Amino acid sequence: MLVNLAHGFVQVFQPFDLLMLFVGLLVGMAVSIMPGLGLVMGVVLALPFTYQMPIEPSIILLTAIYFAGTYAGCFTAILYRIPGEPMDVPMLWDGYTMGRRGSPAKALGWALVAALIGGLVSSAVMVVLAGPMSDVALKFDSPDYFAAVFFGLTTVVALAGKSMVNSLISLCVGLLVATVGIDSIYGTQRFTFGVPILRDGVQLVEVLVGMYGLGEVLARIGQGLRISHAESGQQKVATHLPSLRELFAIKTTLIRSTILGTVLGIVPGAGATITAFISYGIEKQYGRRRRQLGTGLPEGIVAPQIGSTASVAGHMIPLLTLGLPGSGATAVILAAFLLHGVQPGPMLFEDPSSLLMVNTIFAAMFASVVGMCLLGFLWIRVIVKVLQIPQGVLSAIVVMFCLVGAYANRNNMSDVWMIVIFGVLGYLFEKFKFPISPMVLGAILGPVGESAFMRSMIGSGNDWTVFFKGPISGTLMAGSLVALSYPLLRELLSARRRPQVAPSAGSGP
Amino acid sequence: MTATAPITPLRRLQAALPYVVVFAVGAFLYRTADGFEFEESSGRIGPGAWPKLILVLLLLTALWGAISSAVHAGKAVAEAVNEADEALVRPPEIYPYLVWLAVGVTLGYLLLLPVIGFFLATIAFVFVLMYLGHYRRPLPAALLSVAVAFAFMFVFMRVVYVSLPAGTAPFDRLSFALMAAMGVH
Repeated sequence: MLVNLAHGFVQVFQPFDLLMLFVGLLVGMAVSIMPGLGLVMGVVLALPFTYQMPIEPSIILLTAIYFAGTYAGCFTAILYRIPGEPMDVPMLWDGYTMGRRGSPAKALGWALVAALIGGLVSSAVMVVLAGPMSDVALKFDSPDYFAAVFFGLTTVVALAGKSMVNSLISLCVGLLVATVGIDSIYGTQRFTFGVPILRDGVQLVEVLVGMYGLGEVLARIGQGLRISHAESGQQKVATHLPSLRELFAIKTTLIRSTILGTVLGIVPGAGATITAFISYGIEKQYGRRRRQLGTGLPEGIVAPQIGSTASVAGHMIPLLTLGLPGSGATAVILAAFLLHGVQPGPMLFEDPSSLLMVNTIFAAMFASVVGMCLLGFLWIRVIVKVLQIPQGVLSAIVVMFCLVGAYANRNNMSDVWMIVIFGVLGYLFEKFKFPISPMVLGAILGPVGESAFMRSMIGSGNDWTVFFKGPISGTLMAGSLVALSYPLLRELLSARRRPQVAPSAGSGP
Repeated sequence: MTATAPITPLRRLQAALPYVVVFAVGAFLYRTADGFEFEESSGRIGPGAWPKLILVLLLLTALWGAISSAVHAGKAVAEAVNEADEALVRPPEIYPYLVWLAVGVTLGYLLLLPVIGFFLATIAFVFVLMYLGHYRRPLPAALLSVAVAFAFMFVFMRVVYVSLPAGTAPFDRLSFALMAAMGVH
């Protein structure tokens, strides 16, 4: 395994791959700093540039954006109380407070060390687990595969938003979008309504760029495109690393958060945001200094940062071993694989040529973590200057990337029209508080799920119990039931705990 | 604590409206899926089985959403995450009309593209979009629009090899001149 990984490192340090890693890290940092952009949009906007590239640098570019996107948001959260993404909100409680108390450089140092430890340890764990996971995946038959997809989608629904009803509707819309076009088994036209462009089905790029890119910009235009707390650019920016003694003092937090981030990363739907919040919550519940949390403690910085960065490696492994993305960013990376004609899954680990590609991606994960920390340490002063770009200008450029990027896929104007349709849909989802990730994952996993469902049903003579009979499929279906019951239990428990407050308009179910 | 506002039937309807729309669309699609044509063979489920399964789930969920949002309209519960923190990430919508203006402008851009070509259409589009995004300094906005149009044309035509719309005569002359200047053939 180590020899293979070494081959991967040799590949990563080829000039073009290294350049893509560097570009990816810079882009990931820039988008995670800007409120309203975010790492998923960064990955989406980079996707069109991968069309003409070989697959390795394409995936390296997107993976680097993904990793760096979980880290750099802490800069502006700690320094200016501007969370670039929801995952950076916990960083406001202790990170910003530590900064206000006169130690912003130290707070940045804690975040850097946390990102480094979380990223490296989880990547190492996942690389070790990838082989056994692909061996298990090779034993999957159609019902098992359907159950795996079903499990992934149910956990995404359970964790995606505050309203399970909205999450389910979002998922169903995504699954339906995936059925548009000519059915692969019977050759029947489905939901095409005589429109020629719908006959080929809906392209993944259209869904991803429209929902995550244009939709997000439209929502931001409605919000006035403002950055709150515009004291940006006033503070002196530097990073002071904690000493080994200081690190040893919070060893329990380091170990606990790394394990939590890595494990939660494997769960589909438990993205960096959820992992960051859970890690902070666990620290608040079980930490040695839990009562002082929120007053500028290192534990309050380290726990969410480790959690969010560690979750990335966790998400990459189910994608590579099973072909199942568990988050928006991995959905885009899957789209990049598919655009290059490569289907991620256990077979990648069987073929020597694709095994080199897998090891290159593994090596890129380690290199991304180290690279982003180095860039964060050395160039933080330059990186936070991104905040000074006027939001109106930035939005116009992002919209151009969305439209031209979609057009570039097939040189086809119909793709651009579809982007606008999905952009408006994305805006409406945002407006009415329907989470976007279940829709996107439904659109991506829909064809896989349908194919496994149809094969299972045809093979079993339409016996739907086939999904519950096998040990793998049965376990996964049971896991799905547990996942689906989680939001109901959460709702029941919180309804008991929380007091009713004054009514407000537009609350969802 | 704020004062309790009365929950009128209109507010209940407003709360339920998105779900009612989803239900109506779902019902229409179910009818469509019921009519998918295929050659039936004994005991095999057809191409409508999978979409219909999803649509049943969609209809039930939308129905549940409509009922529960109408019943609970106006009731809000305290969130675990500090609302002030959440507002930093997701500020409330204050200019909904600007969104629809931006959509209209984008549609206009797509209609204009094949006629006046990528360069000219993009200059106008980016300028208006920046204006809608509250960047309202005319000269820098105009210069930036030209720069963005030129940069996109260069990157996508010269580096990524994408054939962007040149437009119809007489506008295509400008596009071809620019392409020649960039070394695009």
